[in-house]
Amino acid sequence: MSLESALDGQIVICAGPGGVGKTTVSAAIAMEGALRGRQTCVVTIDPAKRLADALGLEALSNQPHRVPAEAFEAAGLPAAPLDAMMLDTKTTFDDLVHRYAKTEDRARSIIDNRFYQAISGALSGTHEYMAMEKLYELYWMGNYDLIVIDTPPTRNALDFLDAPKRMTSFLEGKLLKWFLVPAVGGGRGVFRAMNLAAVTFLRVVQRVIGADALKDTADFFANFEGMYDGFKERAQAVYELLRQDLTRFVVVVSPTDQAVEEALFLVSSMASHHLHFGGLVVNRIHPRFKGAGGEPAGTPLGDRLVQIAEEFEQVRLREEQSLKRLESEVPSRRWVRIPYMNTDVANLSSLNEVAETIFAGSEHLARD
Amino acid sequence: MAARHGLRVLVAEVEGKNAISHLLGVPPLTSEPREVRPGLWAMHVSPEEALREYFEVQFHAKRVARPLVASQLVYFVTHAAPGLRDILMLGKIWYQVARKGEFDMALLDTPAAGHAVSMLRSPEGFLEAVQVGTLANQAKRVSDWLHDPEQVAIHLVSLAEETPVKETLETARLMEERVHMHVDCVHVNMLYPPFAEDPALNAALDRMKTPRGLRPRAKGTEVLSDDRAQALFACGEFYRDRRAMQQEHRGRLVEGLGGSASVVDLPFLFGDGFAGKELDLLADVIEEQASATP
Repeated sequence: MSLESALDGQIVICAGPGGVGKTTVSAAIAMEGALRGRQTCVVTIDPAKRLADALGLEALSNQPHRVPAEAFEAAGLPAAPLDAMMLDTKTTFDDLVHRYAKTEDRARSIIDNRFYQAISGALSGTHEYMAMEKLYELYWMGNYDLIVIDTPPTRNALDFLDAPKRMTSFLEGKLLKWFLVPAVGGGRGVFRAMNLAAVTFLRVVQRVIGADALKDTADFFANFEGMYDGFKERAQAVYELLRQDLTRFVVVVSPTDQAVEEALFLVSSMASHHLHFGGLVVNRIHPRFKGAGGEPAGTPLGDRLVQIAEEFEQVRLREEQSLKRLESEVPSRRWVRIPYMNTDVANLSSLNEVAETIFAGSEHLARD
Repeated sequence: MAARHGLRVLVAEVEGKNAISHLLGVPPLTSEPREVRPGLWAMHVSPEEALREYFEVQFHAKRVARPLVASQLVYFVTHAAPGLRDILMLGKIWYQVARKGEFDMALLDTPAAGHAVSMLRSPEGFLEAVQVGTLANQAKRVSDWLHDPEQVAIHLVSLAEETPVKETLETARLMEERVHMHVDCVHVNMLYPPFAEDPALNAALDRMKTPRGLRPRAKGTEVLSDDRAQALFACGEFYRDRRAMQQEHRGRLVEGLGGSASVVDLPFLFGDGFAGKELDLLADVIEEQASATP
């Protein structure tokens, strides 16, 4: 059917396994919103170069900017209020530190800390956390009627949901502070107030990772002291934003067993978190060539084509087999199927084709 | 493939989602290698398990591994110290392969490429930060082992699509610059086999576009219906376009590698399901191309 209900909302979050075309789907949904006259922003994570070019995303500015009217014009479309941006995790995290640090010096010493540098770029969950942070920021700016957000490919599908909470409890570092802060700030009697288990623990850790790494870590948590409440409140606000009525989750999947497995997990955890499901997009389905298979066609080319058509049919069957397990979880009217295209999305007109498949022309693809 | 030559082979999956056990149709893997096919062993590596084992082996410290302390320790060590998760996992593999010497060959199925780079760099990165201590010594040994081309080779697997090609080239560059390891081979997976490369065939396909062209026939066969010819043409055109697109991306990949790594083409498998049969088929293809390159 179509993804119409996803556009009823104000925020659309596209989630799903890696490599299924989430970014393209996000951009297509945003484009549709913009073409309907809504002030729209799409936040992409790591768009393919051609898609980035199509959206006029040259630099990693970490701020939205308008997709040029000429790009719409070239695609034969009316100019639409579409903004796009590419998320830069590190910069977003730095901004957050600046926002909540008591003084500029503190912010600096956090940003220069090696431990911070390691976690702000690489700790699992950071990308998800920052994507949600950016969403929150854009939402509160109040400039947009529709924000579409692409989520990073995660090992655990709902990381973007749990990440803010997990990250803040990590940053709170109750356990770590208990062990570490005395080691740095305590002055005399470093291990004085600690029980024997803690002392043993700290010695083992120091022996394993070395004193410098331990000190960096302790410094970080010492500097972070006092900022934690701000982070926590914000994480809670983000979580509420994700659960509000006007936030819709679109699950993007491709027809392979592994992707379907992840999508199933995603759909069920969304239900348990009471999130609003906006639809399922099955991307990259092999097209069907009805009536092409069968008897040999009688020429070398014809015979080869018949063979290819039958091979494609095999692939189709395999794909349908993989998708079967989603049928019991998601009613068919919430499905949209997008066939493999024979060109990459390199401009707004091919992006618009995807959007048309998702929103209007999807009926004939839904169940054939 | 190597297991077919009578070698003892270990496949290690890192923080995966049981893809290997799924592929081979066996129960989920554990941190202890298990023989899944004759000569082929498989294990799963997770940082938590690796850390636990590390302490057992290193400090003979079963005591430390008591639940409460262990969970705090695991949490700290695997989250707080940069790259430590990765070192632990690499260390586990090193231990299993180089130290114990149980296998002739080991294949590490790494997580996504970006993570693979930081994982392989972790011993070096650790050594930059920490020069002394038990773990530093071990990091040094693991690092030396990784950088011995006789011991460890890097193969990347890509698709002939825009983003995977970009990532593969980026990974090859980072391996060289940051990890100081050379990528030996790039496998391009899921390629459509050749089709209308022959100009005559290509022209014949184009002729099918127009109604006058819809007349392929041979003696004793019926003329195709227009509908069927149209469907066949659509099918052929789709195949040709996708193949052209794949070849273009593959071309960019080859060009980007600039001859620094050999390239192995793997076919798209149209069969149903990806069971043992297809695995053997892919092994055949790899073997064929490997023996073709000197």
